[in-house]
Amino acid sequence: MDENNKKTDLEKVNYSFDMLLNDIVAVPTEDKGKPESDDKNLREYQPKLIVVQMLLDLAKSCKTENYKDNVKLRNAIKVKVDGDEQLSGYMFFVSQNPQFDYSWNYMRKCKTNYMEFLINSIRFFNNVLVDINMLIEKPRPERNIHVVFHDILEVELTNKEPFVKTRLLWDNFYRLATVKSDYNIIVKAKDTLLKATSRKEPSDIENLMDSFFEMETTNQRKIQKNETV
Amino acid sequence: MNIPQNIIVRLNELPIEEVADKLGLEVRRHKALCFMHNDHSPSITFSTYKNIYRCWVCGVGGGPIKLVQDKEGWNFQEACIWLGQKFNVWWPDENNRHFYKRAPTKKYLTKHKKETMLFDEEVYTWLINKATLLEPAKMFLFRERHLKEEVVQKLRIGSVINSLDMIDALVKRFGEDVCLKTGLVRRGDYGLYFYFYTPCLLFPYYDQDGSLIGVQSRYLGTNEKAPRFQFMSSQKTRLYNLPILNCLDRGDKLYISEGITDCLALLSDGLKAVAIPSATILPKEDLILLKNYELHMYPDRDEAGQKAFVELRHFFINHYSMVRAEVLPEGVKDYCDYYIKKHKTHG
Repeated sequence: MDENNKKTDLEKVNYSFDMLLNDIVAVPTEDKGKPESDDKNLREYQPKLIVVQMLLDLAKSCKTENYKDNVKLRNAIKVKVDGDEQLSGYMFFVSQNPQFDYSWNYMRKCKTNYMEFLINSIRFFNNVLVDINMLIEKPRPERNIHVVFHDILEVELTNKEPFVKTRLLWDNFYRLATVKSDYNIIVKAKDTLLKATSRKEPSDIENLMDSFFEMETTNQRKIQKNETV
Repeated sequence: MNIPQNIIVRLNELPIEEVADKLGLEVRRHKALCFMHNDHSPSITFSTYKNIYRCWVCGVGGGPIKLVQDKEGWNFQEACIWLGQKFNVWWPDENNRHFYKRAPTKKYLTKHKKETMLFDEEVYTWLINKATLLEPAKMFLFRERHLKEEVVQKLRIGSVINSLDMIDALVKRFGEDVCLKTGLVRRGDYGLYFYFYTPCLLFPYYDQDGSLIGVQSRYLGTNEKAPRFQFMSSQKTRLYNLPILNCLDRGDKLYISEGITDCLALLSDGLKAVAIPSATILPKEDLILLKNYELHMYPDRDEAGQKAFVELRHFFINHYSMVRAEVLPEGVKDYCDYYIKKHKTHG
């Protein structure tokens, strides 16, 4: 397939939250035979998946411009969390425990932090989706490369529709709790780190990929030159 | 209070689907579930060209004002006032002041909704026993759909070809009052009529313990206005083929299909399957019973099928389980279509 045709095909694809969840749930079956899938990982997989599904649903519901508007997003989350009576009931129930010193206040503070966590996750997943869609439009390099977002999501660039395959790095699942709208992106081939950047705006990943392709082209030229010599 | 003619015309020109939306009806592809009867597959169609609605089962229909009247049980004036407020159409009253009046108090139980039908297990069991498989039904199931006879027999699928004979038999056996109470026989302008459009197949729904909990019909005739599926049940929505769970062990493979026909095709292929009544109806209290099996689904190749799969997966993830999507071969729209093509290819 020539470059232009490939580009036209690629432009048709729009990677969505549903596709992201499809990819995420597809991986554990592949991992089942691996030794690192110990009992703990298998046991924790389902509850972790519920959290991921909840965050993606939330991110999807704020997919419009809302997630960029700090005040609107904060209000939307506040309405959702404060309006959740079952969550309030659960907070009360958990607080009535000697380990929490029957402290209702502690749980209330946790609720505020929880809202902050939701806001950051929404921004993170929406930004990652923008980045992945940008990656889909980029030409495919010769070698198999992976782009890792904040050590949580690893995206493999493929030649088959939808041209990316995402997997969640379950071992780093707990990093989700500290995620922010700014995050690290690395480009790697197998275990070799090739490029890295801190992503603050959409152009950062574009620049990262451009500099990666520049580096690849230079390397190939060098190899060709050496072969000729 | 008189409502000016030009206002009535304006109100009747309001987009019918937007009016339906404001009334809380879920309109998809110009269709919606009927609010007048216990509807499970959308029987109301909207004509955006004529700006009218119609339920093909109850026969109710009309323009935007009539829709509000039927849905809310209001009179003509009340419906006009409500529409005026919702769509900002105002008119002066007799004293030349801008008209404003509170929307009428909603009557929660309309005339039609009061007719709650009783699902009488005895009557319906009798119906299922009486409704043997007749030639048009056999033709449809075995020669057109290539379904296995033992599957059809096991599920006790029957048929009704002549509705008048069935009404006579029902009335003779149980009396007119009981038949009317069950909703199976109804009274219309020209006398008694059978609830299910005939000729039709009848699919009994059984609980896990074998009690009859509902009956669904599949119309086999040529009347294009007749609904393809009709449903009578003791509860709103249930899963089809629940008794199969009694033959499964934890972790066994189980398929969830969208609709009975796909389920029959899966069963005829030797797979274990249950069916959700349609892509838009998820009987969650029954679905929870499936969480300990290895669940698979062949989503239909349409938007509704994909959406049903996403919703099912969402449901099962939240219940610590998973349903996996199987991909149908190119060029087939659902599993039944695939099954028929497969059998035609193999002669």
